[in-house]
This record gives sequence, C-alpha cells and structure tokens, in this order.
Amino acid sequence: MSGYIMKRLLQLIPVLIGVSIVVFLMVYLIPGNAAEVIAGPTATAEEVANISTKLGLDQPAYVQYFRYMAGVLRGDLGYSFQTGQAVSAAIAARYANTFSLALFSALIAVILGVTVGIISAVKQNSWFDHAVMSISILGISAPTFWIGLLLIIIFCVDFKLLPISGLSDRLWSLDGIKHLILPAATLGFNSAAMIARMTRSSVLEIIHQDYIVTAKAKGLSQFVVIMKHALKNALIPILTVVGIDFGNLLGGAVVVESVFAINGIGRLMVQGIGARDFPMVQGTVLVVAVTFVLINLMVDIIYAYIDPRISYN
Amino acid sequence: MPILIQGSRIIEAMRMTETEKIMVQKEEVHSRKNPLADLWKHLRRNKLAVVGLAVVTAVIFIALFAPVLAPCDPYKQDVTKRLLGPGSPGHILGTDEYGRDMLSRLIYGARLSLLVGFCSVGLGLAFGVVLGLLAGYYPRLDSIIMRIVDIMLAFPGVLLSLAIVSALGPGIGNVIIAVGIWSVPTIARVVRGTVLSIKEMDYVTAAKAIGETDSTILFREILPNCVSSIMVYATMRLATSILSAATLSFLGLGAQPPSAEWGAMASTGRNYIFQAPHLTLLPGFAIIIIVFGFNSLGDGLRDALDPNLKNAM
Repeated sequence: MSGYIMKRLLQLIPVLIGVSIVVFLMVYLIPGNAAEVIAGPTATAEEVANISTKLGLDQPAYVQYFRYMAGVLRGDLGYSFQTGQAVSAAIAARYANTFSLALFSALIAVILGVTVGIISAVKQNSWFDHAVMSISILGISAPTFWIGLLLIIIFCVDFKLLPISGLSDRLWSLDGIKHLILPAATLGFNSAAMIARMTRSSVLEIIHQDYIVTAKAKGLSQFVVIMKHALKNALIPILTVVGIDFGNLLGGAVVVESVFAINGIGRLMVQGIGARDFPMVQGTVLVVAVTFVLINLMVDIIYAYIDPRISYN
Repeated sequence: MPILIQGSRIIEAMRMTETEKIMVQKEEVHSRKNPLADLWKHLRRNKLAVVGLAVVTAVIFIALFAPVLAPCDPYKQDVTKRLLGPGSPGHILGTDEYGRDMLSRLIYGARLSLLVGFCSVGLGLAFGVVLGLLAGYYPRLDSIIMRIVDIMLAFPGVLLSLAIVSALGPGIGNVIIAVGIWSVPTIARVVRGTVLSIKEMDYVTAAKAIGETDSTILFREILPNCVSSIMVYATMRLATSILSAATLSFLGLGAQPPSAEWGAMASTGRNYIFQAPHLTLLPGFAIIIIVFGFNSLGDGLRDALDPNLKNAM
C-alpha cells in the first residue's frame, strides 16, 4: 500500500508542473503584448515599457516561468493589479468559504442522492422512481446558475424563508447554515442527480444477485438486506462518482459564488477576469486546480483502502 | 449454437416463397447499404432517444428559420412595453427590460447556442481526434499526449475555459475557442481508447502486412471504425459545450449585451428577479430543453451504436 501511495505521489509531480506551466502561459500567451493590455488603451509606449520591465515581461519565457515558480513555492503569488493586495492573502481569506461551500454541497449531494437512489431502486417503476428519474434528468441538463436563480425565486422571493446572498462570518452556526443552504443545494443538485442515478443502477444490479436472494430467504428484513448486504457492494461505483464530483464542485463554486454574491475564490477569479487582473486570475486558477488534483489523489488512495480489488500496480 | 441458428435459418428460408426471399434479400441489402436506416431501427426502440432527436431537430429548425418564426425583431426596443409578463397581448412570453419581445429573443438565441455548440465541438474534434489517433497508434507518443491530457483534465469544471477566456478576453468567438480546447482532452481520451482496441484487429494487421503506410492505416482503416464512438461522444459534448458557453455568458465573459444569448439573457434578467422572474426562468428552460435533447440523443446513440462505450465514458 505504501508503494502505491508513493507511486501516486510521484505521478502527481509532472501533473503539478504541467498545471503551473498552463497557469503561467495564461499571461504569456495573451494575444499581442500583455504589458499593453495591462497598461490600457490610452497608455504611452514609455508606460508600456515600464510595466514590461517591472513585471519582467521583457525576459525570456523560461526566466519568467522560473521566477514565477520560485515565488509560488515561497507562497508568493504576486500582487493584485486592482487592489495592490497580495494575491495569496486574498485567496487565504476566502479559501475557507469556497471549501466549506463545496464540502456542504457534497454532503447534501451524497445524503440526498444515495437515499433517493436506494428508494428508487427498491421501488423500481413506481411513481417515486419515475419522478426521481425525471428530476435527475432536469438536474443534469439544467445550468447551475439557473438552479440557483430558481431557488432564490422560490425560497427568497416567494416564501422569504432564507437569506438571498452572502455567507455568515460563523459558517457552522445556525445563521451560517441558513446562508449556506441555498448555495450548497444549488451546487449539489447536479451531483445529487448523478449520484441518485448511479446508486439506483448499482443497487438494481446488486439486488438481483444470488447472495441477496439468499439473505432474503434467510428471513432478513428488507432494510437489513439493502443496508448491510446490497449497499456495501454497490458503494464502489457510487464512491467513484462522489470522488470525481467533489473536485468538480470546486469548479462549480465559481458560478454559485457569483449567483449568491459569496466572497469565495470563484468570485475573486471572475472579478479578476473582468478587470484583467492577471496575478489574481493566475493565483485563483492555480489554487483551485492544485486542490482538485490533491482531492483526486486522496480519493484514489481511499479507494485502494476500501476496495481490495483495486490493483496497486 | 451458431450451427443451430444457421440450420433454423435454412429451414425458414426453405419455407419462404420466392417473393418473400427476394423481399428479405432486398431488405438486407438496403440495410447494409444504408447505415442510417440501420441506426434508426435501433434508435427508435429507445423512447427517450426519439424524444431527444425530435427536440434537437425542432431546435435546429427554429434556429434555421428564426427570421420567419420570430414574431418581432429581437433587438427592437419599446420602452412603453417594458417587463410585460408572459401572456401579454402581442408578446406571448412577455418582454424584457427594454421592451424587447422575449419569444423572438429566445428563438434567435437558439442560433447562437447551436453555433457555439457546433463550432466548439468541431474545434475539439479537430484536435482531439488527431491526438487520440496518434496516442492510440504510437505507444511512444501515447505517454506524452496522455500526460498533456492529464494536465488539461486537472482543471475542474469550466475552470480551463475560464482561464483561456481570461487570456483571450471576453466575447463569443473566444468562448468557442475556450470551450473547444476544453473538449480536446476528453475527446482525445475516448478516441485513444477506441484506437487501442481496434489496432490489434486482423484487418489492421493485414493492412500493415500489405505495406500500407501509417497514415493510410490511421485515416482509412482505423478512423472510419472510430466514427460511431466519436459521433456518440460529440453529441453528448454538444450538450456540455452549450451549457458551458451559457455559463460563461452568464458570468459576463461570453456573448455581450444586447446579444440574444440565453446565458447572457438570464444574467441580465436576474437584476429584475423580483418584478419579472420570467426574464431569468425562460432562457433557463430553453437551455434545459436543448441540453436534454442532445444528452438523450447521445445516450440513445451510445446504446444503439456502441454499448461498450458506456463503461469507457
């Protein structure tokens, strides 16, 4: 097992280097001259040259890359063009919001998706099953931003039950959860739909197998048969979807934070793109991508622990 | 078992009249000559796929004949008719904040969505197919190309597209490029997987034995046999691309106002979410319908053409 973990860690290195190159190239490959874009259309040639020298854009690409990486490894992601604030400090201040949002969404998606998926499988072809499958198709086809706006219309405009935007300072208090519930439900809706479909098909596949028939024949209750015997084996494909999706929730957070005006990394990124604040965009993209890669690594290692059939080679 | 089947066919054939035999032969020849008829035969058994095909056909029809079908000019403003609700006289789906007819804007929006979808998937296919073919056929290139693919897949959700748009700048053309590049790694993976299974087949070995060049083998022998996988994946990718482009436009990075793009329309509509929720809800419904259409059609094509792809994807 330790050999497998070492191997996965070593595989991580080229991916992380690749991610850093892509993030670096985002600015290097800007059509025309990045310094001109930064200086704006009214800047003089002298101003453009000054910016170019100040940011080291007149250096060869590899020098710029190594300088950028040296900074990244020290935790220095540069300074925002807009506010002058250190990018790493801005991200650190908002990282908890984005991560909590993704975590809470994953929690909602797993609880909702697995429960609904099991009931759908057990009550196959019932009205409940048909309703769940239809709603899950909607969940997969609907844009995240639209789900968010729909929930705002229902819960904030019509019924006035929940706050419309922002997050509370104390995330895990009652007020914090009240603020978090709509954005998390929005972000988790798509994942819940996928997990429900996967759970349903996994459980359906399992409940027709001989050992389940034997368990039923022994006189065990349906609850015990499903929870103790069927779900255990149905869990691996479900975990695969959950693992892949948790990473994707971080990407989706970009959109949800914009809809609900949450001060997270995603909103910082979108605002940075709008203002052509390249250090901010580079920093936020890098942090989200690295988090995504690390989560995938953790999911892979967890699989290897859970399922002895997964090959370590 | 095959001998038994063959035997029963012979007995059945002996029972047939001459006219019936000719009819059967004609049908066989027709189905061999017309793969589309064969595909339709498989596809029509899947109700959801037929609904998907009908939706896609209808949306393409609406997009092509938008000037004829739209009751008004989608850009014509009338401040005396601002924010009319659905069912208003002369404006069946109401009007927006500038008094523009919502139905006409939604009809014209289909054009933009399909344009973005087809162009970005086309771009993704152009690069993804070539990279997938090369990776699958040449083991030496495989590790390099697949590492690049891994790096591109290290950016969750729309993050890679966001990074590209941030470098290129907002606009519908840049969104097409960004979403297209985002499709490249996944398309390359699907094609590579298909090539790996095809290249060991006898007819490829035979082509090598008679001295055909690698490019002939790749493009004349292998590529035609990858078409079904590519077709299935491209259809599903159209749904994802349309969804992603709408999301980018919603974030203000894609189509810019006054463009009748569904994501951008939902984005401006959210400023009037209290007075006129239809400005947000209707473009969302339009996106759901088209994404559902392509997803269902893609699912049906997969089951009809290449059921094994279900596991690969």
